[in-house]
Amino acid sequence: MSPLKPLRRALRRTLWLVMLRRIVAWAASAVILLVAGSLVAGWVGDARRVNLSLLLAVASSLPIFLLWPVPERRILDRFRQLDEEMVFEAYLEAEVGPVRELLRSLAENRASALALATLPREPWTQGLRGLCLTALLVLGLGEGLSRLVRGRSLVFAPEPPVAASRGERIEDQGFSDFATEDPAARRMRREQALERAESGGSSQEGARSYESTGRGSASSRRAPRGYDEPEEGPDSQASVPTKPGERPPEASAGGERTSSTPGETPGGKGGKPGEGPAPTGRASTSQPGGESTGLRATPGRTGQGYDHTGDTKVPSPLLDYRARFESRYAERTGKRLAASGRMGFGELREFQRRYFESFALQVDVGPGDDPYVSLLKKRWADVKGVE
Amino acid sequence: MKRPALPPPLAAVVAVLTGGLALYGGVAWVERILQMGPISGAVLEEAGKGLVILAFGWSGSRKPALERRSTQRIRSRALGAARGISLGLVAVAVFVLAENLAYAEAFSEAGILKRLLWSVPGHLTAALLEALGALHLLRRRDLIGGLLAGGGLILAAAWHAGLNLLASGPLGGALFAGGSLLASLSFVMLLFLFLGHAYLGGFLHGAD
Repeated sequence: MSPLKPLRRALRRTLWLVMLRRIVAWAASAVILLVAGSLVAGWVGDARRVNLSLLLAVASSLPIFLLWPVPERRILDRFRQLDEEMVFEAYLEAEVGPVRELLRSLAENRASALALATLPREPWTQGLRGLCLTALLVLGLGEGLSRLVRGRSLVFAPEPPVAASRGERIEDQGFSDFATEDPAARRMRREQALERAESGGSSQEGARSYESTGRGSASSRRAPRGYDEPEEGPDSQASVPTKPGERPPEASAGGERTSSTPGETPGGKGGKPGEGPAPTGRASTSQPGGESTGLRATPGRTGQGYDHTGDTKVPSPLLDYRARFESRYAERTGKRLAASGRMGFGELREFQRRYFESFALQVDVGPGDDPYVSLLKKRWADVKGVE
Repeated sequence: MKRPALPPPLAAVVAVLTGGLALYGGVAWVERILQMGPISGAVLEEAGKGLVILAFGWSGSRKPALERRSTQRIRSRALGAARGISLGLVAVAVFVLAENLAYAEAFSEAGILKRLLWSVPGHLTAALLEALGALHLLRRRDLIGGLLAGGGLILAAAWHAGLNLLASGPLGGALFAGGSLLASLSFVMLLFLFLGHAYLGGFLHGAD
């Protein structure tokens, strides 16, 4: 048996304990920093960004606590605590020779005793205890201050989760792509679809040509992603096989109607979602006023015209716009927009109008002017009181 | 046994901050200039980290040994190397922190917190592989030590490049969870391996 094996095991346990205490110290420091940061972040411009950076920095600093050099003094103190008669130390200090062999036998005896002995506990240091108490104190103070000043809990109701729900709703997923897509590519695809619809003639002919090219096969048929994919509109309607109880394909005849303004964005010339005839194959079944209908498929009436948009799995753009508005509202005001809130219906309408309205409605924009720059100039003039 | 002197904490803090930030700045600059990919970027970062760790370890171990006995001198040098390499690892942790903050500045969204599970343990596992190699090199100071140090560096670069390649592609939930778990477990295991080798091995050097 190696004389130092029990000693090594005991010292390894000390190292574990050192790491554990460092984790506790890090956690206490993290609490202090995060609470202080949350309180200060309210005074800084972008509180969410500050909180996120602080959280990332604090969490990333755990390895620094763990990897900082272990003080040799700590190990040496423990070493001497375990070796009161200094047998191990004498053995380690001895040069190679007969004395060392003699000390080795003594060290072996001591090691066997150490293996059976109950090791003395290592007390918590005063500094660590003080740090933990400080963290608790700061947490309590921060919570109290937050409730007093901001009227909400610091721990249980932090900053409103602006982006937390982003991507959870199908509306966000579908129309986020639409919003970020290159408009030139969208326009080109729209024009191609228009040409195809025009060259296809009637919807039945279009349906035949669609099926003959194999695009109507189940494998290639995918759910439309938004307004910008009109090829999924009339053509896909025509490709749906007629079933008993359904209207014939002629009745839906979405081809001509769809070709008028597919892919128009709100505020554009083609009108807003919910205005004018809704094209087939779109998710937008919205009525003026923001209400949407037909998001669920109606059994027995699948795939025909305006009433069956639930089957297309296209999300409603108005729901997306509302979600975006709610997100921006919560981001700027720190309040959640809820049906049970204090905001009146008219006030909500006014906010939505101001958020979504076209810049061109407020300023006179020349043919070569940038609407955004013109609006900024007008607002600057309003602020400065210049006509 | 002579009680070793404690390192001046403030000097150590300044040294690791300087080392970590300089490493981040240098690596980011070279990667931007040369437009490096995931593999070449990983190799560059690991080479930089290995150099920093070795430099800190060497500076720790070259302290003049005043001990009269040879066993004491060896032990003192081993503990000095362990302390220096630990500071080098802290400099790498500063590098990782700076990188995380840079990412948070560029992509200020909650998804950036995923880096804490994937990137941080990945970086530190690679650094610990290099630290173990550097420890052998500084203790042995021979060809075998050099080979072990080189092996640690190659392993670290391969590990980092593998993680980079995985992250470059579609990183599914299961793959992310598995990779994060593997990296975290590797980090904890290598941390205690390093602590045992560097500190306990330093104290009990030559006795087994």
